[in-house]
Amino acid sequence: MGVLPPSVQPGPWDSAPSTRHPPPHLAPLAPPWYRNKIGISVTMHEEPQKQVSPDPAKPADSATTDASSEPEQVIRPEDEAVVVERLRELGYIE
Amino acid sequence: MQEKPNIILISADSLRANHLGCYGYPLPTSPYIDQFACQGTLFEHCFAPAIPTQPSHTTIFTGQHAITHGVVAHGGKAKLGRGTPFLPEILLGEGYTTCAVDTLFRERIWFGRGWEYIIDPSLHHTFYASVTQEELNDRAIHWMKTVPKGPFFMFIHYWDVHYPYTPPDRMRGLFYKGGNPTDKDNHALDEWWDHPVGAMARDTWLRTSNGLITDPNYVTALYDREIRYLDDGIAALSHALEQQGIAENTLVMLLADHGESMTDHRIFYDHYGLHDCCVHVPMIVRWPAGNLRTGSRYAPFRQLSDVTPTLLEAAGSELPEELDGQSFLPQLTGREEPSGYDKIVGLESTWQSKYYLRTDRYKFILARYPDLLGNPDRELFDLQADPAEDHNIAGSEPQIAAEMEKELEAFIAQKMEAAGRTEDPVRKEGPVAVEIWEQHRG
Repeated sequence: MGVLPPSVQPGPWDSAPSTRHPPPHLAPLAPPWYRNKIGISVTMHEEPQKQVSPDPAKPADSATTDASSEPEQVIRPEDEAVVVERLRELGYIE
Repeated sequence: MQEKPNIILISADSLRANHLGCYGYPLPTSPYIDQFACQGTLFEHCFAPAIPTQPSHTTIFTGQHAITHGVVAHGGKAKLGRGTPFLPEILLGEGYTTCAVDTLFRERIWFGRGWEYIIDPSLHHTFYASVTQEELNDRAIHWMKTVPKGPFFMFIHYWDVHYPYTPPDRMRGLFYKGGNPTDKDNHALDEWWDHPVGAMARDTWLRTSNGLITDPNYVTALYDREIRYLDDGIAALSHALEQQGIAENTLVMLLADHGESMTDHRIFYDHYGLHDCCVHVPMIVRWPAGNLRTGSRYAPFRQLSDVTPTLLEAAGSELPEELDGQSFLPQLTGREEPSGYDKIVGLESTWQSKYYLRTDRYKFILARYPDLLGNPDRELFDLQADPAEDHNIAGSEPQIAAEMEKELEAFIAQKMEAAGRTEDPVRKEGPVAVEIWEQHRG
């Protein structure tokens, strides 16, 4: 390519926001990287309510497995202290 | 109806936008948040100009770019200047009763500024981020019912989605499509053990009754279960507002400080790297009495530095001159057409010291120090051809890379000059956690 696209032409940074973006009704539903990442195509919707998820009390088959077949996480009482110690080493916690 | 609205600012730490149904996720992680979105306005392209938690929340509360306020790292040396405008302090001065249901003040002292009330149920835990949405909500709802006599500003900061991912048992079975979570022959997470946070996970919350979790899909399912659990909490908080009869004139803003990498870019279940998985954040605003657009999606670029000016305008407060962000309230109320930024500049200086410049077409990432993953110092991604940011084209498109680098450096210089800085804060701070990482790798 080699030609600088309009979106990166030098210009004011934090001055009045531009109106160059499309109005909401033309906007894609999801960021494109999402569609690419998991390889599905998402239909364009404007109304978020059309995507309302079911209650987990009645989970969709595709979203669940038999819970009893899953291993249980084993969180020991001392694990929180380990996490705190490690994060303190990182400077996350004073 | 009281003149000023109540304001509730909800921060869901580490909540990746595209793991929510209303941002296109195919799994039912967010039934309530999806409903909430159709009662308000959803921002499709909101970005964090600084990550992770401490720099991002500092930006949220100051309305300033991190180059301006100077807090560029999580756990860095920089302190927020006492004279820097701070949202709760300003609202307190405007007659608001201010309340933080939060733990951030335990990390950095400036997060305690301006709160008449600080409620911290995490004191019951060894690790404060283990506090649950139920514990936070119990206190927040009780406070809302009993304390404020006039308009209030509440900040509630949920940690559920942040690692460790330990969702409650009632979420078991959700979002995992089968396989063996603890297959000893699965080595997909082995590289994570080379990172201190990965080693911490291996030594603590990844252990199960069947052995170590080795399947990344299972870890992702645990993350999604935490979102589903958080969704319940946000529903409960919203229901309490309805029950009190104050939902109409309460502006509720839901956002995240940053996303989560999952396994993208060889960064495991963390929030560094300046790719969109970490810097694109959800933002939804609802305010029935404010006549905001409902069920709409806001497409232009916005950023977290816009939060403070927007909330101050909603409260009828004058905006301090020092703010970098811009209110989007006129657009939400329909007084002006939706508008936004042509480009976003953001930064990090915790595990890596880098800047990004993002347009709707390209992302350019510039390192101030080499990173430990071996990435080049300059990366350019074509977001149209490569939305996952997997292919660095800086070498094949040197002119675009050079122009974006020039523009990025110009922005940094401009912000530094405006803030009276003589040294690039990212260069000065450096990757504050990287020494530990190097030691860990031995």
